Amino acid sequence: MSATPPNIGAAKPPDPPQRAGVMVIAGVVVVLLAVLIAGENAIVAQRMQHLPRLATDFSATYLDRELQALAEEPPQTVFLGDSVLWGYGVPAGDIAVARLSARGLTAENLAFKAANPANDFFLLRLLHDRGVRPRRVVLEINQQVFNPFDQSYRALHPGVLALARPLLTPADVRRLRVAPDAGPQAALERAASNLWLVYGMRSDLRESLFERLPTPPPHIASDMFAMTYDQAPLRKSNVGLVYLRATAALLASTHTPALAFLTPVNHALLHEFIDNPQYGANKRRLVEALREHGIATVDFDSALPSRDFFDNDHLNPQGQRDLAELLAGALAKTKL
Amino acid sequence: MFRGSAVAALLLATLVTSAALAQDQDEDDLPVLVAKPGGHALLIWDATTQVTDIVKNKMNDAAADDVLERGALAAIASNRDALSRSASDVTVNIIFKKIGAINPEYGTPTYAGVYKCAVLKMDGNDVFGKRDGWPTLAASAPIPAWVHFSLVGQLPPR
Repeated sequence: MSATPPNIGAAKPPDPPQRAGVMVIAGVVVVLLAVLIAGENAIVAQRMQHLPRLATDFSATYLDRELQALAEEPPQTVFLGDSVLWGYGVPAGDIAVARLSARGLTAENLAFKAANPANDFFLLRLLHDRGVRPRRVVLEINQQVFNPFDQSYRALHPGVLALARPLLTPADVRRLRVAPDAGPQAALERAASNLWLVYGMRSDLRESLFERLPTPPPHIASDMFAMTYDQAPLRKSNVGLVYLRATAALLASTHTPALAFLTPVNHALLHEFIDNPQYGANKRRLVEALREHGIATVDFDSALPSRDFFDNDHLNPQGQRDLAELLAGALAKTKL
Repeated sequence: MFRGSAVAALLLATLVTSAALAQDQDEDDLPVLVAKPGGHALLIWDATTQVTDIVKNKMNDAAADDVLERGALAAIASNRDALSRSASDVTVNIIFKKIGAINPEYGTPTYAGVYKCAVLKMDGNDVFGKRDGWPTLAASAPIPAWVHFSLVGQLPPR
């Protein structure tokens, strides 16, 4: 008589009723998850519908949705610029564009921290490709970002890059030092962001829920800005100048009326660095690059007093109020 | 009809902007910034590449100083056109960047800070002259004694 060896380690397949039970539980979990995500998506989509300004680390998901909304309801005026126009250190309701909106201007503020002419150019391309036709565009031109030492000199914001990547030419990739797409990981990230808005817009959500304004440093000295402006003559190959020209060409070829303004700068603070002929020559070069494509520039470079600034160019609430006045006057005068 | 004209407009815009972008020759990094072109003129030279080489090749202090001093002289020589002839003196602040971790969003290294490690100073008259043939000094030629070079910080350990 031989003993049957024990069936050690082999999993016993579930009998049919047990398997059906597992399937039902899995199905219920999937349905609950889908309902949960759909519910979250609805709440997030409602809450995150048109923020007063882009978050510091705005997501491609948010920007994408904003562009879709703009295509459906084109704004009167699109503002493009950097942290000055974005309103560093100032609540969203107190910035110049918000003040203009309060006067009845239908405005879309696409300015963001660490922006530069390359970001402006690709934002305009995205607007154009999505069929957004604003009545006019207002461009902020800040000499600071034409400085090759500036950290934003060659940088595309990740949110802009994610959407604009298909538009980049090999020259753009080289010029802007764009890292290659992360392949499957990036595709997975995009899929998850599209499916689940809480994930896709986590940075925008975080900032909209817990925004804390940065506190400008209490003591500002001119030496802190020694590396902020380059007083060498602007070269034709300057990355900022290349994209400023391209932006102007794009605006002209799409017949989009545009007005540019030179960022107000705290000359009282920066006198030893920027009150020299070369600063003025570089300023004229930027104005000329725009004029070549029929774009007028208003010069606010020395238009505001020192008391309007937190630092070299960021404006306090009074400065934002004064900038709004300057912009309102310039827009009325140019009749775009 | 509208769709056709929209496509044509888009194509035209793409062509025009592509032409505008194609006009430039890509530039090398300009590691010298002209902070003040006149008066007590100030240049800032980003010597990160040289400092990296100094550390990698485990150069001794004298050799490291020589690399930085000659580099700072070259920074002045190549930027004389951007300086005012009325500058009383020209100072080069020699800096390097400490590189941190790779930023996952940008795919580029983050900066952990900028450090000033040395200063070179020349009289304004010498900057625009050719005293001792300084603008084209051979690598083996001694650096003139009237060029003032001083270390003000520390280089990374070798």
